[in-house]
Amino acid sequence: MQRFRGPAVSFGGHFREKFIPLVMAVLSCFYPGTASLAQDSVAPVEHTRVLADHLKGASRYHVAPGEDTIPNDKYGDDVRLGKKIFTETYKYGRRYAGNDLACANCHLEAGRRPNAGPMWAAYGMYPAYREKNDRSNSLEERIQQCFLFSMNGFAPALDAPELRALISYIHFLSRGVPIGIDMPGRGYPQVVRTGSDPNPKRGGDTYKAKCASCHGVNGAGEKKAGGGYTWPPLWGMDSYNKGAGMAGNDLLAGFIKANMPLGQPWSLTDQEALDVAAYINLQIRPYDPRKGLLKGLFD
Amino acid sequence: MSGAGVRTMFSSVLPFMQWLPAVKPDTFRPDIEAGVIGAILILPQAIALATLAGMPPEYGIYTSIFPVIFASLWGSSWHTLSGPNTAVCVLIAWAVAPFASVGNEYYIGYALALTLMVGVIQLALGILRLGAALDFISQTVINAIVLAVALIIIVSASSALLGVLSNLGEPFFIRIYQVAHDIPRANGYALGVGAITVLSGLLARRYWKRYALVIAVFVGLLAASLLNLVYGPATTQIEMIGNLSIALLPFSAPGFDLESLYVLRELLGSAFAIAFLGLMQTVVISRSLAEKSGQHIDTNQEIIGQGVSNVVAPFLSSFAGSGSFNRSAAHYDAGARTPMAAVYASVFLALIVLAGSRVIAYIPMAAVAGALILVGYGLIDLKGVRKILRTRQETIIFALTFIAALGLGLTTGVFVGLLLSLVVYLWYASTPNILVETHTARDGRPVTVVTIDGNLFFGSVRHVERALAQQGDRDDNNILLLRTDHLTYLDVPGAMMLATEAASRRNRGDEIYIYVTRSEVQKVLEQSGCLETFGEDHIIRQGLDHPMKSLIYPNRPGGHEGGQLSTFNTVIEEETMEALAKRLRMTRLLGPLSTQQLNTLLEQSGVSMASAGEIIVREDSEMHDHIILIEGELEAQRTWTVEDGNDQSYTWTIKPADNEESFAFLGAANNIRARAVTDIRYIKVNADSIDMLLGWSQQFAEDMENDPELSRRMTLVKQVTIFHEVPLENAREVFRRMYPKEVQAGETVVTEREKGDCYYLIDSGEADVMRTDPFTDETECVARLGPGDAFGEEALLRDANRNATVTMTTPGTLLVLDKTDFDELIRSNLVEEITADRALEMVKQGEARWIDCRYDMEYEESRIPGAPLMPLDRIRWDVHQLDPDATYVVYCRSGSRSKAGAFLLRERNIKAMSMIGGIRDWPYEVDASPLDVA
Repeated sequence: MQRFRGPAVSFGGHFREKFIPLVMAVLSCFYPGTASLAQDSVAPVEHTRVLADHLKGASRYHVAPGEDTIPNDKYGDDVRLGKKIFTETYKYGRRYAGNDLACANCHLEAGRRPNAGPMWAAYGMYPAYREKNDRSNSLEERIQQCFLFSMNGFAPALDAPELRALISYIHFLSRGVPIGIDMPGRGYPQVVRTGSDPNPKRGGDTYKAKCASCHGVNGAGEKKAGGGYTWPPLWGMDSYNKGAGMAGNDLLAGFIKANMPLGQPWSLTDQEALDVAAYINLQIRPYDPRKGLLKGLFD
Repeated sequence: MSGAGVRTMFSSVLPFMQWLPAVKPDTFRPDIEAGVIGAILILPQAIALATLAGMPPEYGIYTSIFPVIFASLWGSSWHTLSGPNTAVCVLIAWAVAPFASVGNEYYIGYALALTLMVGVIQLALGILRLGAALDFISQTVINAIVLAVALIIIVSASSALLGVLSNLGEPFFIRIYQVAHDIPRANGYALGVGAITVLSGLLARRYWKRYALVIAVFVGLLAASLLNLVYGPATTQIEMIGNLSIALLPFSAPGFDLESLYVLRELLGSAFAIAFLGLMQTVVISRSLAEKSGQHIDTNQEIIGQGVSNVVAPFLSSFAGSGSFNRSAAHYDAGARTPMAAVYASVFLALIVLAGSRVIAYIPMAAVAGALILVGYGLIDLKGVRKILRTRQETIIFALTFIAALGLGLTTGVFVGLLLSLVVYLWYASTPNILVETHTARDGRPVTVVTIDGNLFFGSVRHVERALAQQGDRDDNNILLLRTDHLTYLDVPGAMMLATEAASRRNRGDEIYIYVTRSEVQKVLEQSGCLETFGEDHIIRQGLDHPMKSLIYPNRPGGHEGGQLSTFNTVIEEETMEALAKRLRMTRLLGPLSTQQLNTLLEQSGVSMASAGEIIVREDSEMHDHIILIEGELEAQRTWTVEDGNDQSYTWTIKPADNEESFAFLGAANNIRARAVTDIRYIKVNADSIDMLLGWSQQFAEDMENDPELSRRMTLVKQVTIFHEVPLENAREVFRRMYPKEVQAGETVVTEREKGDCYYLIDSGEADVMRTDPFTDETECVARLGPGDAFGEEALLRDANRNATVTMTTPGTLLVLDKTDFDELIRSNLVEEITADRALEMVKQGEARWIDCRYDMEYEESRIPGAPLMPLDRIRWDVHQLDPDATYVVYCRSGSRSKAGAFLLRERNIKAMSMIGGIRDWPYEVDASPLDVA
């Protein structure tokens, strides 16, 4: 059952026009150059801190090795297979996939793009504690959870060949990355809720204006010939389920902010990103496998 | 090329052309039904076994589809279904796991390459017609391997049952250790699902054995779904099979490339082990199914079928398979008629998988593990093991193979088993059976007759040598008669040993004779020059007369008692015999018999000897024979009871008369005691035979005079007593209607399991009676027949298949009576049947005793209290154990076999009746207590 929750508090109209210059003024005291920033981009826009870093030195992001450097041995074969699984999970990871998505639908540029959950930033950070299952998880177990939640499928066995291939690919991308260091560009930027609460109704309007052209008005995306999606579905039974990371508004908002619309990253304001995320995550999608369906009925 | 030639070529390359015509519309329906059932049943097993082999589940499905088709088309058995096989899958995992990670493309490549190698090996074995090599592998070895496989499966599936990862191909004892360690880490939900699967499978086995596995997996699926509904899949973490990607024609290539050559070399040993293991199982299954269906199996063709399927398999994403017990038996029980049923089963399996892939995806791996445990449990055959443990030799082979398989790996276990089989075979072959009997020669000197039963080759030379030396030391008989007619094989070292023995004995002054019938034996003896050492006059040949000849035939009407003959039989010189016959003819008693009849009678009876003081007839035994005294003095005493209850006796002396017309004669009667006063020589003639012969002579004197052949035949028959039950006219007709048939040495007259069509009487020549034990597949010789012996009546009486194989050991002539004649003249007149009530009454009152003539397996299950076992086919051998004065009631399962049993007993002068209805209709208490296994 979907329920719209409107903003609890309203700051009245023309809020942006009043508030932003104030913020800019404050920011420019601490972060010189912010003011110029505000003038460079489409006004008026709120930005996360990350964007600032991002614009300052995009070259600080790690660049994963090119594919021509994949060695010609059994490890290399695994790496290549891993990439195939990563980009065409619906085909090469079919055994465990529960929908037609691919890893690369969210981990953009085959897991290389910073701020889109890049793989090279993840490898060194595991094993790590996750609150999600309240224990320390190895990378294999982490990927199991990807399949279980984001791919809405079956968790592969820890010795499954697909899993091993994926690990090999991720390992390859991570060459040169120091272990245990939180790399810039890791994961998704955090969109701080400084404005109003995320407003799905507003988000819906934003969605229809900016997202529906690719992802469809009903969020069904667009299928590719030969399997998979050119534009993945954002909700519906063929999308990620309610237990996925993307089903959390903040994470999704961060992803959207840094990557969407495709080709125009950082173009949405923080508030817009949060709103759209709230709108998307309110839609119907497969249930959370941590909760039994019977139990889920009562949620 | 002629039509026949083309057809032969076709039939060898495309053997299914032979049975294709049998595929008619009326076989469609049962075949299709069997196909559907087979497909449903194989599905859980296919996935489970693929997991066992470390292959993705799709490969298990493909293996249950493609190789099956090829094996059925190119194999010989109509009912054997190939497919993934438990032992073979365990071997594959064990072989490939050290070289690649499970499920990897390399693992798959190596496994497919292994399959190709297995196929090539099997194909080679079949084309070179080396299928007989498989017969070397004893059933015990197979049992040991199968038991080891069962345990391995159960233990290795236990980890998956606990929901814990495990390594494939680990040594058995390490695996047990790991499982113990896994228990604390177990996933409770997975364990629950697995336990439910196993329990429901065990339960289903009781009521619905065939579908037990499918039911078990289905229940497991339901259980897992229920748990996921309540707790959610991320909480339960029950591993599931996942989506299957099934392609209709999954072309693949085995991983043969330069890099992996070293791996393939390592795999070669396992390839041989898998090839043998797969073939052994397939052949065993085919044979047991053939027994049920009556089909004839060409072992080599069956092997070729397996080879073809395993050669094609790697190109269609299938790994090595072999005949599968469960599938074949279920398939057969489901009513499959032609090999097309296997093709239908494969097609249906493909359809089921394509249609139901969504459901299959949710089958929990714990349920698959449970299915594997059920499969392993089903492989355990405690009964078979107990049978093996009865014999010490078999126990040793079993134990060694079993321990090797578990401790050193299955491949090693298979090879250890093979080696042991060979060693044991050599051991048996090198110790042939040696029978020593003592007879008396014409001049009264004792003769030792030594029969070597088995192989005399370089391996057994020492054993035989030792036996002969022992015999030489033990008795001071200095005449030795060596019988080589039961020698199955003789080679030059063996022949030379015999020659050396002959030479040394002659140097000592002893005499040594040799009896040679088999041409192969003769050839070896001649070519090695050994025959000369014996001297022509010391060589007794078949067909030629020799004074020592009749020492060869121990089959007397009194019954052959194994190694030692209790009476001394002698040979009489030709002249004396004729004179004796002439004299006998002149007596009143035997006068009416023709010379020829007397000659035959005398030849059969021979002259017996007794020393002074020996009692040759006891008062409490019935005399069956008239005694004709030739030499010496005999004292006879008859006892009878008078009215006042006292016994009276009358004693008289019998001496051979001086004149030629009267004979010292002691008629067969009861309550006679005869004691030799001096050393005597006498002839025993069966009183009933005389009666009959006389009766015949009276009635048919004319016929017999006009037809000397008829006369000869009628006297020929030794166990003449069957015709007592039959009107004399019938008896005569029988002999009239018999027609002669020439046979060669080695020719099989009747074959076990063939339909019975004739009754045979041996006119000349010798034959062996061989029987195969249906439960152990061992063949043994149960009797030896000579001239005058009859056989073949059991199958005709019971309207059943032959229960033994009779093979001529020498050339000869048989007299054959067709079934219709037999039925008309003999069968209708024969066996007395009594009801169960009457039988019980007779036994209770001590008038009769029980005999159970079923197989020992049936006897073990249940029997009538107090009934001893004498299986039907051992009656010839065991009859001497019976009391000739007692009456026996013979029973079997339904009352048909017991008729034959009673008939056989009556043939041998034992009163017997058949109980109607057998133990099946027995209304009283039945003893089903377990028997002590000796």
